[in-house]
Amino acid sequence: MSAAAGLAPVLQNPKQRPLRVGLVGNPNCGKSTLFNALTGRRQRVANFPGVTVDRAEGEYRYDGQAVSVIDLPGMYSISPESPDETIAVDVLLGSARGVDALDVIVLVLDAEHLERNLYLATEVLELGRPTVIALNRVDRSERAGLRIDVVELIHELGVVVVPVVATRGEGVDRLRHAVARAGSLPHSNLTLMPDADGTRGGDPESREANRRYRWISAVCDRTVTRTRPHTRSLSDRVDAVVLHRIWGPIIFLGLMLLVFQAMFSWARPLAGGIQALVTLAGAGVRVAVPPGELRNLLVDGALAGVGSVLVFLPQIAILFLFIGLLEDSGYMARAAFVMDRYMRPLGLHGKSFIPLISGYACAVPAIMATRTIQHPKERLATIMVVPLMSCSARLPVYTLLVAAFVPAVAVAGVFSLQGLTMLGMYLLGTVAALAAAAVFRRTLLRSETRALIIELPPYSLPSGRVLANSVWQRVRLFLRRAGTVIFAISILLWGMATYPRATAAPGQTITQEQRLSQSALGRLGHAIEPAVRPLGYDWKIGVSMMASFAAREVFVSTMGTIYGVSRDGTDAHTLAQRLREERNPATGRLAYTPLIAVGLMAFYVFALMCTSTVTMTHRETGGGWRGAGWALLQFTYMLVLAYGAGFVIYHGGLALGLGGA
Amino acid sequence: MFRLWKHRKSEQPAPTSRRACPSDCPLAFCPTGFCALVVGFSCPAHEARRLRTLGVFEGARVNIVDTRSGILLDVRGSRLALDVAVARTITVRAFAA
Amino acid sequence: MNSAWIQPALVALALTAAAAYLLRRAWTRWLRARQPQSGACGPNCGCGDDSGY
Repeated sequence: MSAAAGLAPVLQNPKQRPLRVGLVGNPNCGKSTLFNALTGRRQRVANFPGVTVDRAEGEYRYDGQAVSVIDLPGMYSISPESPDETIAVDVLLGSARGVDALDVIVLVLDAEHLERNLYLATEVLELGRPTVIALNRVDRSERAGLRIDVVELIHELGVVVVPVVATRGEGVDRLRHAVARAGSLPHSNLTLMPDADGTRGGDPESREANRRYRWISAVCDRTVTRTRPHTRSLSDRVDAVVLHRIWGPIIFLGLMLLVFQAMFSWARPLAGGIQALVTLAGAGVRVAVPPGELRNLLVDGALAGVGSVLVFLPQIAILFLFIGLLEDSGYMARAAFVMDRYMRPLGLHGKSFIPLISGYACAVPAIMATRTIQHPKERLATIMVVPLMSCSARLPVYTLLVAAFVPAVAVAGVFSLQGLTMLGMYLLGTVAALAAAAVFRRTLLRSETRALIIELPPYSLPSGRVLANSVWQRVRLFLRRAGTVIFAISILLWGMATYPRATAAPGQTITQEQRLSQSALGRLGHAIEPAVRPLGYDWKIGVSMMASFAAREVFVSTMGTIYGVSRDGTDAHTLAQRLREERNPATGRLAYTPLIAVGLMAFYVFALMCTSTVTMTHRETGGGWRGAGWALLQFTYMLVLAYGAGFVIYHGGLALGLGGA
Repeated sequence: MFRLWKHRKSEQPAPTSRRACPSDCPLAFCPTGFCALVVGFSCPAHEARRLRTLGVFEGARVNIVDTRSGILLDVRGSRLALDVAVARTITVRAFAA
Repeated sequence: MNSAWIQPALVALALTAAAAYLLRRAWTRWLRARQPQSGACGPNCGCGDDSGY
């Protein structure tokens, strides 16, 4: 960052306490990009309010001084409407618990929408604290035909104004300089002219707003000139189609279909590559390590378990890529607006839409994203149903079962049956989420549905670098999870599947199946088998399901370990093939059928099997006993749904003669 | 739920493009392409407050961009989306742009 | 002769380490869940929650 930091700090005046800076601004003003540029810290950047839902902190050094920066959630004014704005305001005013007061406020204004952004500016400047204004997106405003007289703006506002282009890092160093000097400059004593002008009656708030806007209008007249007439932008033309009453939802569904299709077809060759690598690694271990317990642990336990999860990396990366693309381009805001009219009868409004869609990636940040929902009951209802949106951890389970039991045929010549089945599972979750929300809003959480008032940011081409970075962050987390938790669980499961070793009675040979049954895992599985047999599952699935309550992907790795352990030395078969061919030792018939697979997938659609989600729900619904009550309710109703669905599908299917086998 | 939907459909503002508002009328009934001068709010205080901070205040001029799904406004260059219910609580004086 | 017990020993070690790791992880997460959380979620958030986010 700064070269000055290299000098011996002892000789300089050691500024012990870091300077605390808060980034404040409207949603969509590019605050997060600026935060990245200032601190160099990678962070998710998106174009719709609600993604930065919690403060993010970073640091940089300038001129020997450590500067700590807090990126606050976007707000339109200092009268908080939703929980995330409340947090921002508290930190701004220095009244947030556990957060030190700010030394300098950096107010970020979007040059393209200066007039609207200035509303917050009037309120912030009135606080009288050391403030520096970062005028962001001056490149875009210039392209749009607006010229801003920065010197005049400084004169009008009484504080330093630094033009920046956060996406290119321009002006950032000047901003750091201004921040460092901010403490020593005279504070802005912006007091709006008292209304000595005869405003008409009306309530005080309305008069107040009028005063501010009149001042803002005057400032803009003096500082902003339009060099080109305002033309109907490309954004509007796209919106004309996207917001269409009929075409809008169709376009949205079409996009979702495209995403799923891509996830399946693009991912396959990549997944195959990873599978090949895993197999290669297995061969390598076999060469390097002499036969024995350790080799078995490495190949059948660790590699089989972790490998079976790693092959899903391409799919998950593609999913995150598309969701990021939809968000960063600004499309999500339109989708929320279009979907609002369909969600209203259910008691939700458009603002619930973003958290729900985020739930397709992971429920944990999706629950956090509900902080933009103003009304507590609407927010609570959204939190309760978010985990029903099939998160990326369910993807390995769906994919395995679909690959094993759904034939790879084409439907209507274009779509694959496998892709459609996956889509069906996602739809099932989505419909269930909406239905559950409707139920909640009519029973436990009744209230009037609040109005939808949102800003639609202009469409923009997502920065490839930012997008790639955010996908990479997710991939890294996925790999870390696979390398740690899943690795450890796989090893443990292998141990449980191998020991205690079965002893053969003299003169008898033991099959792999029997060996497995004698192990700790086998015994556990047989113990819980009665609970899952009504759903058509055997003890192997039962055990895998139990293990996956910690993390859903573990279902696949557990099955991988079980079949890795029980195979008879041939590893040409993939797990899917093994499942397809598996026979019930007692009856000789096929153990798993498509019916069972569908029922199992439905179970995974509904069940809440993620301790992180439970924790987040507990936290976001108030913590303590109250939060625990909501979290417990969430877990229970979802489990009941899951078991019920599995039961109905299995027995209903049998009754209809779809049992197969 | 179906009943609710039917009820909502019957309450949609009449889609017009040529009808001019003779006097003050709710924003929800203003045709696309018109300009509107905000006169007052009859919605709850917190909603009015939110609208004001977003640029829709008494005396503001807004352009109506789209009325197909809810109301889409052009407020000083920014796009603001409102659902029909709240648009019915905003009184405006409309005139052709 | 010596190598006969090395493999089982390593296996036992691995199993114990895995169990210990998981237990410790559950413990720290339980502890952290009790404190009010105010940092950003993500790779560097420090709460150790490495869910797919």
